[in-house]
Amino acid sequence: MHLPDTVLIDNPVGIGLVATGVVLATAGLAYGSRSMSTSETGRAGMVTAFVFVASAVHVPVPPATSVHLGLYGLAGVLLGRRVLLISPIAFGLQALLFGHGGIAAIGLNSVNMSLGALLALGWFRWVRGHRENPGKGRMAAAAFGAGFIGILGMSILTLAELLAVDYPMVITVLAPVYLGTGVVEGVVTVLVLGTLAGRFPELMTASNGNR
Amino acid sequence: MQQRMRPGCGALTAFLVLFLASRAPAHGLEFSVETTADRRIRIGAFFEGGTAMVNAAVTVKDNQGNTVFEGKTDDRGFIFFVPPGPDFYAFVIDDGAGHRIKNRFVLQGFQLDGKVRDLFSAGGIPMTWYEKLRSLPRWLAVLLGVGIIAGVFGVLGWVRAAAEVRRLRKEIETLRG
Repeated sequence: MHLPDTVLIDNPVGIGLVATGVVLATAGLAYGSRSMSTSETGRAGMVTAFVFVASAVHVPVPPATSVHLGLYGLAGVLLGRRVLLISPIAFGLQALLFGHGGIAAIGLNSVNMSLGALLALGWFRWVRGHRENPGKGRMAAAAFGAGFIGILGMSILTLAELLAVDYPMVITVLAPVYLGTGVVEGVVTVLVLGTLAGRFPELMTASNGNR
Repeated sequence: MQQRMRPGCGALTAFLVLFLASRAPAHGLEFSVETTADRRIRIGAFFEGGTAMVNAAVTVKDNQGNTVFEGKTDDRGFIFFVPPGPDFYAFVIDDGAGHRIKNRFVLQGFQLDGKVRDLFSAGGIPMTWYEKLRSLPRWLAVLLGVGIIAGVFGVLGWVRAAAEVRRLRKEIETLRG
């Protein structure tokens, strides 16, 4: 869920949120860039492409709205704190090329996504634990929860910011839509992480707590 | 710890990216403003891909900021109103679900069924570079985006690798010295 800049820029609180988002996203970009090693750039690029393209998959929700995939939980699990680097890039391209959110909201949307992704990573690490072989059930629960929390964390932050700029409360009736999206994200995350953990375990180092 | 990515990762990435890209269109917002044969203005609001933005609140203001029309889109995403006369008009469409369109159009006089504006820019108001970028075909936008991502991370990897080589050279020289 993208926070639209058209809602923010007419409101003093919204302008404050936009400015805060720009500062935090820039700091995150610098931190994420510094904390990434040479060998991780390929993985970060791949995940950025996933997040960018995932937003092109939209599902109409009757009667009058639509939602799209985010894969924020997946990004958090695969990248750890380096997600701070990829979120402004992915959201910047989505705003420029797809018109999602708008240019002024890139920073705030990036911050929302990063927080959702880091929450998802926290859940994944907690449920998976430090076991060498956590078992399929535990792994699936960790991955599903990560996908669910990733999108839901960002949606809750977005809803809170919309309410902070006096956006009509009717937006809250969309909560079931985002719960449904969270379930879809959870399933996609289980499928992708299940494949990656089995065939490409070297991609899972961030979720193991390494670096 | 250094990690080596297997060749299969590239194939998996390419497959997923192409699979997902083929599922376009996306979630952006579109609108149209046209004149009708009975001298009304028709404003349409849609999600990208053509899904109508139903029951969205529409407010139209004239160049002085006076509200000239308020209403809600029908089940096809359209709303009709009779404009007071030629003017610059600003409008806001909001579906109450976090989707809001704000733009302007110029009404210089009626042309029967004439299109007042194209996808992103009101008639008489030139498209900005941003609006032009957004009007790229979706497949091209996806390819462009993925290309930019590959370029950004390629440059980042190259800069990092160069810095690492410099550091190692210094270490070797220190050891030799």
